Amino acid sequence: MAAMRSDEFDPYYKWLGIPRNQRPPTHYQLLGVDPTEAERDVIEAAAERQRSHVQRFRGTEYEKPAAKLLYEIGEAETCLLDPQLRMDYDRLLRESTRKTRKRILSFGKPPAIHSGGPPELVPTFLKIVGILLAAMIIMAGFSFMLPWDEVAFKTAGTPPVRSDPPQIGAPPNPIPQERQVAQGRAQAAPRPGNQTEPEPQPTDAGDVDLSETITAKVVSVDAGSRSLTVSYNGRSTEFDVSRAAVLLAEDAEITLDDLSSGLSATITFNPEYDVVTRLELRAPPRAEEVSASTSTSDAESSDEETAVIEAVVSDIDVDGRVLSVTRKGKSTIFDVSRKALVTQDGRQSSLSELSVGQKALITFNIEFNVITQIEVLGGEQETQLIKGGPDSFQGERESESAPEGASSSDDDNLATVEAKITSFSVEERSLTVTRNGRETTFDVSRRVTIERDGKPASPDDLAIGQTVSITFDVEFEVVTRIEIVTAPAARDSSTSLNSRRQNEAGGNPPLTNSTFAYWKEFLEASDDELSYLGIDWGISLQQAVREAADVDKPVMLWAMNGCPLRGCT
Amino acid sequence: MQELTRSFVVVADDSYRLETENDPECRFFKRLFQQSSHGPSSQGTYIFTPGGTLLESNGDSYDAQKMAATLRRAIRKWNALSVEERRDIGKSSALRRGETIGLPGQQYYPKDGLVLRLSYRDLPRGYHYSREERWNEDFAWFTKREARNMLPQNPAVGQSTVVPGHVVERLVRFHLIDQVRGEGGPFDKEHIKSAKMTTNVTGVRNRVVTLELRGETDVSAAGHWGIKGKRPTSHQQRGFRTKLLGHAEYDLRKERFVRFDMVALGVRWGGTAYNMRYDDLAENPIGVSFTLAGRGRMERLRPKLFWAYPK
Repeated sequence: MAAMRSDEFDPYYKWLGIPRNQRPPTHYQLLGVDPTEAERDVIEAAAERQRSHVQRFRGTEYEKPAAKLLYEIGEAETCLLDPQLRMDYDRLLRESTRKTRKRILSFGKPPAIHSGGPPELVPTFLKIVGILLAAMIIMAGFSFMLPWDEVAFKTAGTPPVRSDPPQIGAPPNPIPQERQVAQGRAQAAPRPGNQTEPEPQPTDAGDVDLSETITAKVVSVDAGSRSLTVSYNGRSTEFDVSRAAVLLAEDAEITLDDLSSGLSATITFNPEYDVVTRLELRAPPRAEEVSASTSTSDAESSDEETAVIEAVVSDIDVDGRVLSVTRKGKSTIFDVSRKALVTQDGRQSSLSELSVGQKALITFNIEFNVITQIEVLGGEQETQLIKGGPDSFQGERESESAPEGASSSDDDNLATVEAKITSFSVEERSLTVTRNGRETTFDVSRRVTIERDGKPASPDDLAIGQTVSITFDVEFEVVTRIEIVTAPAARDSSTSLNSRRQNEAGGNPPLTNSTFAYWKEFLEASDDELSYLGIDWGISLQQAVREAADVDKPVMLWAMNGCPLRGCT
Repeated sequence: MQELTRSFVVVADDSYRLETENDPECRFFKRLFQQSSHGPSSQGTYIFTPGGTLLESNGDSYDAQKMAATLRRAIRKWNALSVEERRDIGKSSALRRGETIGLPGQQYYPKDGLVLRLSYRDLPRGYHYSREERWNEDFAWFTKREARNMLPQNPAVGQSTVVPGHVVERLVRFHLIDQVRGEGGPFDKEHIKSAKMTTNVTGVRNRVVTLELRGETDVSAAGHWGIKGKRPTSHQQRGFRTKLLGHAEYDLRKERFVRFDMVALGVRWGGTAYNMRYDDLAENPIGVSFTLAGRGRMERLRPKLFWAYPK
């Protein structure tokens, strides 16, 4: 398909005022009538009005688009004036609306890869295809003399694309009919989880935003087959891209050929069929923006991993990305993620703009004690734990037996649990323990008390596999007391903490299911790092030389040992 | 920079092969290199006419400003050429009119199999750290059969499969290597101390099998080799020891993995001639991530050490 760029002429927009991102337009949009309009003469008058307007461009440089558009207006008019055709057309729209809406109601996980559509659509589609083919034949009767050599526009009856917020009569259904039929055959079973949902009241047209939008990273694109693979939430998902899809980069229309691996895009798709209806490339996001969405969603979705506290900034190390905060007279030091979002007065800020004494909402990852978001507050506010703290470690609160060194005002923040040591780093003062099958890593206070059998013990007495009773600050996840409950079954050099630390990736958080996503993200290349993939590199020097001769351009060869496209050295 | 590159037909290739072999493509490249002033390495960026006349070259791919200036100069030179000069076939006749030269090994791309994109990076070594800027990537290839054999023939929740030895061996010898800073060499089979990988079926739904992958690898070598290019050899040792954890989904209908996310975390030590570890030989943490590669042409490139894959 020849893509329509922003500088290319768009007759729908220029002549009929239909927004550029709504392609193809519905019959109702083409005629400029409401989907509920039932009066025959109103529809006829609307069609005539549109026709007259477009007719003015016949015989000009816009002859071809005018001819095509007149044809489409005629198709729309024929369809909407024929009760049977219109009923089927509307039913198709409603069907699509209902199916997609059901998906949205159950939305909450990344789009799964599937290839089918509900079987009940098959007869509907077949019927519609038949009816519309008949309509097209009729239309051809009065339009055969039109001088176009190709019909790139969507024909009447093709379910319209809708990638934007709700528009009357415009559900997102960008799939060519033949594909819908094929998919309808492919999918055999109704979707689980939707069986008990109340059926939405049918309307004449869609009244909800039926599409789903995600931000994902382009993994690969095949312009020939119009398939697009993206990475989203750590998963790779393959979409078809509607021929009518709107593809944009900084408001300019682009083609699939302009996409390449590593680019970040906002993708709107029909969740029923995993067909992309709109794609907008994102400018390389600032790191803060990336993390903002991530950390915020994490905090909202999982209290077990993220906590939010209100505290006063007591020290800032911008270069080291370390932030000290004071809360109830206690000072705690956090690392600040390089991607942390910092905001002041509702605007984006940075660590260097923070001042000692400011109050802020601090969102941090409990497991790693790393701040992911800082929201500077104005005015005096009561300090309190807003949310967070690992549920499995909400042990028995100590109100009377605070560990030595803790002030009495801190008592209600302490909890004690029994757990098994998974790893421990003396230098980094971190302790990872397992309880009820879950792993959690704590900071360990410099003043930690370690005891065994009621006697003082040292970090050297700790070992992996030991059961310990740990007392920790619920809000800051700092261990203040460790009591060794049982000794490990066997303790030798291979399981000693130091050797274990050496063997466990240098004392970093161990690789577990709970740290998996962290490490995956840590290791994978960022958008910036993959920006070189934004260039459509060829991989054959010979092919490049041949192509350059054909297109009258010079060749740019990037030559590195091992080929730079599979790793820069 | 990307905008500038639109003025060119852009291509990336392996300078080592172009420099050392002798097909028309390589001979064409050697003539380009001879016209350039940078060296001694042939690595770099070359801008030239389709006929093989060098317009500009730059041996430093890391300096964006310098590269942009190089490209602009090349554009000016190209625009100053006459039509005849632009179309001059020059020394490219054999290349342009000869048989198509396929990339070595590219014909083995397992389009129905499992193609993974790998990312290598050093891990933090201190408490307060920032992520190392140096990283690298590669691809790993497995055939359709090899991929299928990573899970039971009739998968059911709770079943466990030991990933076939030759598959794990390929991972260990050619992919769990240190190439964060440069080119890491392969390990020999006898260097493998231990290597095991298992998959456990954690779910089967709609013919999609969900798997958890776990494994441990330990490989080390000792001998005489150089650790700084072609400089004299000395007694060296190197190794790579990891734990593997991953999550994958295999679609029994599509007969392929639709998700494959795995992380290898562990330590590496020692160096090789070109992996630039001569100042960092101690045991230090490293990680490798694995994920499904896309299907674009840039993601179909053969693995770096594909030449060493057992045939």
